[in-house]
Amino acid sequence: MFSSSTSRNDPRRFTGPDGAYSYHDILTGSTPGPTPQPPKSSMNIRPLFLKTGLLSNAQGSAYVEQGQTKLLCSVFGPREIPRRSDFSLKGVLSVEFRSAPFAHPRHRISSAFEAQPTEKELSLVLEGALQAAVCLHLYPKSQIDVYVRVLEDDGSVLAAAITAAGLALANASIQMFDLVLGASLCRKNDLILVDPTLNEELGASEGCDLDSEGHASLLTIGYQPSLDQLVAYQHEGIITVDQIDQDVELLMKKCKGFLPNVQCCLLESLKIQTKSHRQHE
Amino acid sequence: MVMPVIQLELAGVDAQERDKFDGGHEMGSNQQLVSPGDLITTDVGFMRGHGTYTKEDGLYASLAGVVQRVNKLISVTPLKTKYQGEIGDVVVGRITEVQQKRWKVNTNSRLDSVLLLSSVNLPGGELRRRSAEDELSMRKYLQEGDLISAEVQNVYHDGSLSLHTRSLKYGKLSQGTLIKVSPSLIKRRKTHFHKLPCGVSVILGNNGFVWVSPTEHEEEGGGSGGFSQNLSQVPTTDRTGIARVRNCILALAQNGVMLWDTTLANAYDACLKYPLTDLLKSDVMREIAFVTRQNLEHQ
Repeated sequence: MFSSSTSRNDPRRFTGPDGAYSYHDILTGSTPGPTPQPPKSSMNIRPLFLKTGLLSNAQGSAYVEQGQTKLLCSVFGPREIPRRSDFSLKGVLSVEFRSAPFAHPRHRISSAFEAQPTEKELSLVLEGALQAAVCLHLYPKSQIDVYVRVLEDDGSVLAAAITAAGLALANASIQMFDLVLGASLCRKNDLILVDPTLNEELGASEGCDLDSEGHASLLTIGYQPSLDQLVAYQHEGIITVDQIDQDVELLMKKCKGFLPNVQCCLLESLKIQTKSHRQHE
Repeated sequence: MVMPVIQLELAGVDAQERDKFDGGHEMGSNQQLVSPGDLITTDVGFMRGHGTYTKEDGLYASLAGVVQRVNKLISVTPLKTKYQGEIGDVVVGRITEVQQKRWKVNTNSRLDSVLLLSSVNLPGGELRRRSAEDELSMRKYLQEGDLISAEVQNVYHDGSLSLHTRSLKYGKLSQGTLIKVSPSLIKRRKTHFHKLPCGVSVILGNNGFVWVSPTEHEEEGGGSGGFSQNLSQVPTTDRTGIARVRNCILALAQNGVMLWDTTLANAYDACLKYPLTDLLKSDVMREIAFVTRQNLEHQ
């Protein structure tokens, strides 16, 4: 839970006029969690909505909705590295993962200035995944910037972010070995929940201690379907080796399941453009 | 109830051709759309072009785009491209940095281009020696944020460009509007500087940057090596002309019409029947592009 006092004492935050009070004061008591969802079947990925090319300023962009999880990814570049200090023949990826202040009703409000530790961690995992996917050797002395902005967090953010970043990079016409898809899974003993919501994730993290009864774990992977390679692996909790094998296998299958949707979304915009070009010719 | 399955075959794509290209997503005759990681062909007789890479078992796409085949060469053409410079191209760019003896220029390419102090015309004649003072006063001629027109002098091996402005038609740009379009929409012509009959000058940069400005009169330009800026007030008629041309270019670019002097003139004629404020409506834009295209076919 956030503590409203810390966010009020943040010196960089504009405090508002005298007599104004934080909207947290109204919210406390009945913190509206994520809107209750009907119980979903535990083996399916939530409905997915994908769109590319929303932002006209960016070289490429993608918007992903996975259930109630909503995020926007924009890609800038390749462009010259400003104030480069060392020479590198490979391109440089800079990845920034940030949550909007209103994205997560339960967490401390994220500061607009400083990245939270969790955001930094997710940035690193995402950067690792994209580094394996992008043909960086083709972009010497250049930098590619990837920005992910979470608009609403309802679980499986990293998985959705990986998918969105892959789409946005492809939309920006940056050369990649393969698309990257993300999927996540929450396991409590033998109960498996693919693509968990925020409530399910929180439930799992409570069971992550050694001394609690029953073990729970949260697993997110990034996967390249046609190369059949894992590019990201993030796991927290307690799990046996056999279960890891099973879970990764299952997630890879899920990724392959929604690969056609991702490809379709990418090629849809292409079809419209090529049609108008051909009319012209 | 069982729905009958109807199999539809596309005419023009014969079975053999399809077996060869078993990866991507077939569309129409010979149009193959691929996304990154798609297998283009397993045939080993092909050469690897731009936007593709080879693995042991075949040729794969690394871009989302249309597969193009020229004899044995397979490449993937993406939707958006950065500008790939060629010697002799006219470009419009923005100064991003002033360095020792050179300016860095953003020209919509992957790396910033350079404009060397030795490849600009300094005030005071062509054959002037460049002294240390010139180096110190570089920011007086061009500073960060200034727009210039220039020509590509050289392409370095890493793909970055070297520019020059050794002609009075190139140099600093003063008042006008910059429009950014895809570089692939600019048609390569003998000249990229156009004076339209409506009192508007257009520079169609090969890098996709288009500069629209009021036409300068002969006696005002020149004399100072292309570094002078005419900051006198632009009359309203010229400004509406510039706005019209700008909106025409946007309309053409959005509908995928190539840009050169003929299409610009056609689009300008087509837009005259609409009030200026209507030119940003998408149906009017589509109409202008359509009329332009039709006129091209009739000419």
